[in-house]
Amino acid sequence: MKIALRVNGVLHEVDVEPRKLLVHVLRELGYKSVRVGCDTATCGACTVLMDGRPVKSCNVLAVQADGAEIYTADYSDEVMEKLRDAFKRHHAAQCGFCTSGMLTTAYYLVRRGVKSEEEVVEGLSGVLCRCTGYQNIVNAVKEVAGL
Amino acid sequence: MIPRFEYIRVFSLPEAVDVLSRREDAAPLAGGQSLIPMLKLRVASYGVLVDIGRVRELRYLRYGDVVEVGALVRHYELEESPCGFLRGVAVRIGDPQVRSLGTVGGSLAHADPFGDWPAAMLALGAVVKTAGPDGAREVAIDDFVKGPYQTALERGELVAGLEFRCPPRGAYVKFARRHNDFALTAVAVAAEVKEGHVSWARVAALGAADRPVRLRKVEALLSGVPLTADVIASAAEAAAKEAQPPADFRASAEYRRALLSVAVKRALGRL
Repeated sequence: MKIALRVNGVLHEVDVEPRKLLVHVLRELGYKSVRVGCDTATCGACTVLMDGRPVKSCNVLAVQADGAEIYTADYSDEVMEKLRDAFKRHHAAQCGFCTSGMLTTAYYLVRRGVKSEEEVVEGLSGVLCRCTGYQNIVNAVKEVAGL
Repeated sequence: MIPRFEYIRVFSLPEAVDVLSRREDAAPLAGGQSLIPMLKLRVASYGVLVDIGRVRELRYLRYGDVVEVGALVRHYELEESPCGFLRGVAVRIGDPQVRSLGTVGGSLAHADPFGDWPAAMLALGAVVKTAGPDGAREVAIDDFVKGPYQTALERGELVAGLEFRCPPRGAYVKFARRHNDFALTAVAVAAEVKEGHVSWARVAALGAADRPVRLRKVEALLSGVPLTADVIASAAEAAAKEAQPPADFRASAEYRRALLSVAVKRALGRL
């Protein structure tokens, strides 16, 4: 089935099998920052923004995303740049595997106007960091959110 | 990879009902947040997936004397609901990613014994509106959930929406091992309190049986009395006595029973 995806502003028209997951289509299009972590919708490493909301791209069929606007961790604008910079300074990436999911989710939280540390923690709860480096990640997001 | 299936995208309710009733091996796909993991695990398998995600007539949300929630309303859309009870439930479902896509109708139709909405709707006394080959039906929530993953839906029927009144007071207390995990147990209470006395209360629980159930002894105990510490304590005790919690890898029956008591106590304390 032919679908259209706008990824980080670039329009892609691809022919996909209905059983194909969004995460695999994105990776095959070259967006390798989108990680396949657990493949069971638990870890959140594959989180991308779909029409402005965070989704686990391993838990969405690509055909469901037809016509959607997708942002990955490679997306660039002022907020994302600030987040990447804050992640670096706060040492918010240890092994780095969850970082893409953390960045996309954090982008959503900052854009939404997250108001407290509690909201940051709840907001990030769908992305697991198995290095357990949560505090530095939370600190980085708080800084960019002005908390 | 998920085994092959035929994918049919529909744009109207009659079209959805038509395909679902004609094809025996068809299942509706809404948000897919339960269905897709099940397909991956081979717990479920269908020849046809009917994507109802773009059916506009299932996407409505109206707050009047009666709250009308279309089947395709996503969990996150209720996170900032003017109805406090709905907010309390919505923010405790899964994580933000799941709430972005998961739908209220899907949660009801799936009837996971640990799903949040079936218990919440039991407490609300909601009416489930269905659409099917024989037309529309209204099913009381008490008659809708028939067992674990079993509902009153007939072949070809869909949940179209839900209707209920936003309760004057309500609370949802949920215990889970991790923030975004399924509940070990949860208690939903909808009630009205007039001049310090409970005029009515509907109390439903997850993890108190093999399906969401109403705690009728607790409800009876609360009716017409003031919400004192003693009343709350005896309600918590009655809940533990009334429950027949399941045991699984998440928790033993005894642990669930103990948690249930605490959940009832906290929920009533929040009214």
